[in-house]
Amino acid sequence: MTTSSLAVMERHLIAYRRLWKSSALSAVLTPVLFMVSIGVGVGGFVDEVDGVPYLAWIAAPLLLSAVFQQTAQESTSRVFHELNTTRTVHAIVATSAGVRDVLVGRLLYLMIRVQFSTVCFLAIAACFGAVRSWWILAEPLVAAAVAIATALPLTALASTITDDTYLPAVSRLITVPVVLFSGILFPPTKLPEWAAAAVYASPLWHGVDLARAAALGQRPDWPLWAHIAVLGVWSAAGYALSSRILHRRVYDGNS
Amino acid sequence: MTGERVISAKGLAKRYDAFEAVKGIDFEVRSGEVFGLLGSNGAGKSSTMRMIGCVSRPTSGELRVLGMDPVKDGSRIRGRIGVCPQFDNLDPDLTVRENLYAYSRFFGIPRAKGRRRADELLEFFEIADKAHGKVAAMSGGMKRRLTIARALINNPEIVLLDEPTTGLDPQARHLVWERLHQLKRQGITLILTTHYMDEAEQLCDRLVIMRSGRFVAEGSPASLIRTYTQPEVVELRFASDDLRALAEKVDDLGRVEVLPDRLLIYTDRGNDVAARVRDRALGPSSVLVRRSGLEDAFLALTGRDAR
Amino acid sequence: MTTLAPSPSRVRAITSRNISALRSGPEYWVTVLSGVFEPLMYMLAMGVGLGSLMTSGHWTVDGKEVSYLQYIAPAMLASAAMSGAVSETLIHFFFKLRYQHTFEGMLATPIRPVDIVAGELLWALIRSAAYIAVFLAVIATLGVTTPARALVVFPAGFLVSFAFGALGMVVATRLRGPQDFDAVVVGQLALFLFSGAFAPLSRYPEPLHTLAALLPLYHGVELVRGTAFGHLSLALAGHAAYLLALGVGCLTWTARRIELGDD
Repeated sequence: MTTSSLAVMERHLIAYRRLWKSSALSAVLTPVLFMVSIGVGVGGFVDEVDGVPYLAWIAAPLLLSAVFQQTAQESTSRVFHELNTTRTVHAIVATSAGVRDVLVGRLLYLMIRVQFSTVCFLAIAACFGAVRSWWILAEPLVAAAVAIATALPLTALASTITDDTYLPAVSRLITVPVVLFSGILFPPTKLPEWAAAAVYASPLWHGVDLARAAALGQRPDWPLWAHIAVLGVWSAAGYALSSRILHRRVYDGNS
Repeated sequence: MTGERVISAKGLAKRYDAFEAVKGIDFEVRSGEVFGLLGSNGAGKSSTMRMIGCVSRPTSGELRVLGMDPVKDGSRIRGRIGVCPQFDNLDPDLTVRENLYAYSRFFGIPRAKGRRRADELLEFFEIADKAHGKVAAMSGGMKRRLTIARALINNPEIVLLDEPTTGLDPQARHLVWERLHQLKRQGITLILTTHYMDEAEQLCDRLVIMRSGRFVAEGSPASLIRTYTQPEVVELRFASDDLRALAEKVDDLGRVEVLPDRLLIYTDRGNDVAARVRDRALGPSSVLVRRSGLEDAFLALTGRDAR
Repeated sequence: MTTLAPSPSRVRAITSRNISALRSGPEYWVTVLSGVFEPLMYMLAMGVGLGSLMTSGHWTVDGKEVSYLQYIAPAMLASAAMSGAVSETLIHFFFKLRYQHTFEGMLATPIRPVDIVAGELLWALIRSAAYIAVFLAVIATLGVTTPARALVVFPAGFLVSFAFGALGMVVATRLRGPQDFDAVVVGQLALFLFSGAFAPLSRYPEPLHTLAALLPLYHGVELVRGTAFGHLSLALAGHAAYLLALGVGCLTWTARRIELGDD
């Protein structure tokens, strides 16, 4: 991290100052709406899962799904527009700041937003009795790890797109299915084996398992090191890929 | 040649897949100079500028900017130059002043200094009254001024201006020219591309004319005019359409060029030639004697065919 | 009222402009197919995945017991009809209105605002109709509904598209800028989550229950679910009348507003 990365973060924060009210509201409201609609409405028909009421079982994972969606939005259409429409990225990389600062600066900015919505949501979830362990203090870390493991690979993908008609397809074919099947509303063990295998590859599921374990004070389904390994691989591969693709796009391969 | 050498290129070339944009050019720029790249669209001007600006890797050849290698020291070089790209890429999410401030931060300029510098530049380019407005609400000329102002935020030693006045109205162009003259007086090295000959003549100490990725001529505006064209031009218009036949009747008076609507005679002594044309009773509908300009030299070198 | 009557040929001109704009490449098919994919994913995740956690016997339509998948499938169809129409008439229409200035060019021709409103809506309905048809074909194949029922459900879904297409235009003319999109997305999500798609509204505490019953998607879900599994009743006619009135009202309002040159 360099001062230029912080400068990129500052740029995003300046722009965000004018949008934060509606954006933060929707970031917090989205999981709350799900929690009430599904948790209260459907929860009564569902037996306890892992020995806890359904609402408590889905609360912390719903937060992760909101973090995932927020990050996906920021890393796909936002990145696309800054590369193709406004060309803000090109303006930044013509200065002392480089591709690394563009990537790291955006991650830092995302961290701030994600941490804010995490704290707000957890306060609300606690009122619904969905917070049952002091391990909840680890939740911001989990949210940050998922955000990074999501943002970097999606940035790489978005950097390859040059036609904006494909953007809705990315959301419908990638973001939405990942949210729906990553073990937030039901365990992947209920899926056919091949589908469950795909779920175990998604960074969101690893975050969900950790977040749920932390909120309920239970042992996660997978060991901690395995979760860290998968999230780490997504982050590292995402960084390497997005960095290479961006270099090619804005520097014709220059350093 | 004035100061020390700030840019040097030898056999510099750039290829994009099958297309060779720059085909091996050699040049030097000295500090304090205003160096111009002239050429039609697609001649390789912007590709050259992008290589100097360290945002495009040369395919082959040698390039040094401020004594450093753009491939290895891109970030350090970019920190000491300013870039005004061909198309404005201002930040639409920020206000006018924030555009300058946020940009200053990318160079690692401290906050207070960045704000001060932003305000100075807004004053210098006469857009201070728009400081808190949106970029989208500005006219084309104002946006261009803001982009140039942004290029100066880090007190650069070299400023790259890619077609700085394309699309501006005459008032806006003159304002930009004035400011660029001021920068020149401050000793800043300016490198600019343009296809306006008057702009090149006004601003450049030295320029090169590019065609299909190569330099076809190099020198000061005056020397280019001297070398590639006669000092004066006589323009003749006729009622008749058969200009070729008429051209043969005046071809002893100087080099004659036949255009669809008129004849041009390049000569040392325009008034004499005009008088001799009148003597021959060819009946031109108008005779105009003017000084040759860079445009005549440019067209002589690159041809008149629009591409 | 005569000035507000759209001209069929001009409406057709607007609609075919949209069709030809989309037919230009593979993006067209990606857009249409992915639009159906999303509600199908929802249906599978909720119906099969979440459904697997439930004990049976809770879900009935008009007293007839159905599986959870069958319970939510019509609701997903109604929601797909809503978002198909809204994505066209709200977001897309907004950009054409404010940024692309598509309509200014058109208004220099004999085309009038009311023709544009009708043409854009017709285009949104064509797209939604394609979504509904593909969705019905898939769920009929999965055995969630029968082909005969699917034919009855189609017009119900179409009515939902009409109502939301028109409502989307009203919202589009009221937006201040892209900064309001967040609110639009949350609003649409709230409609979806509290439409009775996943559980009967009676499961929710007051005043949420009453409030949700006033929202338009609730009536869309009830209408589509009723036609899919129930019998024709006065209640269904009531839901249909609500949606029809909403659509006609919004359409008239938008045409008036554009006619006045407010935007």
